[in-house]
Amino acid sequence: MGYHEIDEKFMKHRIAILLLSALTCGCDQENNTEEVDDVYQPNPEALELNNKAVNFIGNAAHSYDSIKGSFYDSALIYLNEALQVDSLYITAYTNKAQVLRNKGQLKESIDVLEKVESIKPGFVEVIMGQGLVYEKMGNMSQAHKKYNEALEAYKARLEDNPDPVKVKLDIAFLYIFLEDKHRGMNELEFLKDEYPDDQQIIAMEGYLKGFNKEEFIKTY
Amino acid sequence: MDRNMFITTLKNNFLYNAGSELNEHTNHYETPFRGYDAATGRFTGVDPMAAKYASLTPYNYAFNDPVSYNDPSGADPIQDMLDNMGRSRRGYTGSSYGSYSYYWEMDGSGGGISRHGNTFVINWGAGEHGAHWNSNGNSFLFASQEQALAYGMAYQDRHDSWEHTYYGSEQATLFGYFAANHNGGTLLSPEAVNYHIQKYQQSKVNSMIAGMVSGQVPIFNLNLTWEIMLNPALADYFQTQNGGNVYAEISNSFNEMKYDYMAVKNVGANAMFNMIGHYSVNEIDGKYYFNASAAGTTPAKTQGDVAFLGSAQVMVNGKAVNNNPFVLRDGYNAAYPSGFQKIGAVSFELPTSGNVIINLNFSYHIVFGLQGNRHSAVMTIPVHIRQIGLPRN
Repeated sequence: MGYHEIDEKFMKHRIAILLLSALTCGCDQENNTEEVDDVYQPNPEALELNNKAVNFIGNAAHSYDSIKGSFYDSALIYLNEALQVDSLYITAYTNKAQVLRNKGQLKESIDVLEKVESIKPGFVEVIMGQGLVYEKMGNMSQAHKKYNEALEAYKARLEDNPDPVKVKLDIAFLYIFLEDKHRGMNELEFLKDEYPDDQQIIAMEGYLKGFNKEEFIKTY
Repeated sequence: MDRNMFITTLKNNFLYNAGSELNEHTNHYETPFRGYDAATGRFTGVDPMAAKYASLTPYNYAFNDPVSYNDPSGADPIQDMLDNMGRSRRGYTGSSYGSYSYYWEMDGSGGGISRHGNTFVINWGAGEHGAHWNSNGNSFLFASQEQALAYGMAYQDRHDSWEHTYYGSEQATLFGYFAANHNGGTLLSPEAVNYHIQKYQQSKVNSMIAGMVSGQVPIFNLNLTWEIMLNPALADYFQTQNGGNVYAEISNSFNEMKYDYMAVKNVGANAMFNMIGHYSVNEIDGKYYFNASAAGTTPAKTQGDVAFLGSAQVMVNGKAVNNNPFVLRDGYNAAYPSGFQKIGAVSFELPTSGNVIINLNFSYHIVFGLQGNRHSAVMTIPVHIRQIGLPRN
């Protein structure tokens, strides 16, 4: 790859990231309001155990393949302990799901996400996460079922959302996994018509155009 | 051969354990690490492992119990454990930490050393006096895996970390021994040993105590970097320190995006992250060095505090032999676009033999307020180092 190509790619990514950041920044006030409503104060001991686990997860990313499993096992020990202390601690559940996914225990990962859903029904990012894991397992029917559930949950979130751009962009992303990239790009076109000056939408368009679903699922 | 005849006809200076030679000037047997006075039953030097076995006199031999424990090298009964792999042995590491002792055994399912391919696993058992466990019975057995794991966690919390207990003081010797056993009997250079200590610390093996259950007996597992010490590629690396691969000097940039999805409200696909940076190979005084710097960003940073991490993993002949973290040092002044968080730089000497690939690994942590932190995806960027010549030797 030549310098010119690198620079061009670099600039493209940089613009995309900065614009997406700006998009999310634009939603800060709305997000903060939602966070107040959704805020959950975990048991301090559970919080500490969760954070210990996260350190192991982080170390695994920079360790030898032969000992990654031990790091993940240690993380699971702490996460299980955290969940024994606080069985409603969603962050610990989603971290546990991530560890299990990284260990290749995909079914167990989905089970953990199901638990989150039982605690917080309609948690769209968790539903979407289940769909992604199902797709990674090759279970496309279950994956699509979850993606459709996620679509409905996003629509429900849209009804209560005063600034729908972020949600609509998420929906456009979701359509890629519903095997309808064309629909996703159309959603972006509609958004562009609706918000002609919104550069963040243009940035997402570039992001989705370069998105490789198969590669994403492979490395997820 | 009549042994007595042999002794009377040819003076044997190797009567003591494991071929240790008698020093006629001091009348002591010289073990690899210190002299041994057979008359007093004492070594004449301080046990190099004295810091570990602090409860015993620093001039002790085999825990002052030569019947049960053998110590041919004069330094550490653990060496015996390595030397006599497969032989039934057991011992303990002293009681330096209040009521706790740490037991190892080779003759049962509860501990000791086991070998799995090229991985040596030292299983340390932990137990309290009067209630310790071993594989020979009369012991405290954990009733369940959950109980064992909880015990292990409590143990770790009480003792901070393995590194800060006795393991921290014995690393060099253990690695040196191990290298001697598996590197044609030649001790590695201090630099090489130091190299492994750094690697050992980097891998944070000290905090890698995973609770396991073998039957009903818990094992605190330390399957550390000894696997790497057995790696033929690594031995080759050290044996060719004075010559080796010739590399093409290169200078390249990278700009990679890792897509990810995080099951966190308002994050989702924004978990993706972008790493940019630069790497090069340079020759200085006949040695080749790999240098890299990097910075990262992610849209998810608007949802929490983000910290990026990076490391350069050295692969020799397909095997990982070293991990080097990116660090921010004084004077580091690489410029990156606004919005990108610098993670610092890495620089190390390249292996002098073998086919080398550097994997740049990046990841990030994100902390969501009081709800604890979370780790996101890992990005690996393989860097193929072009070797333009055969090893010099």
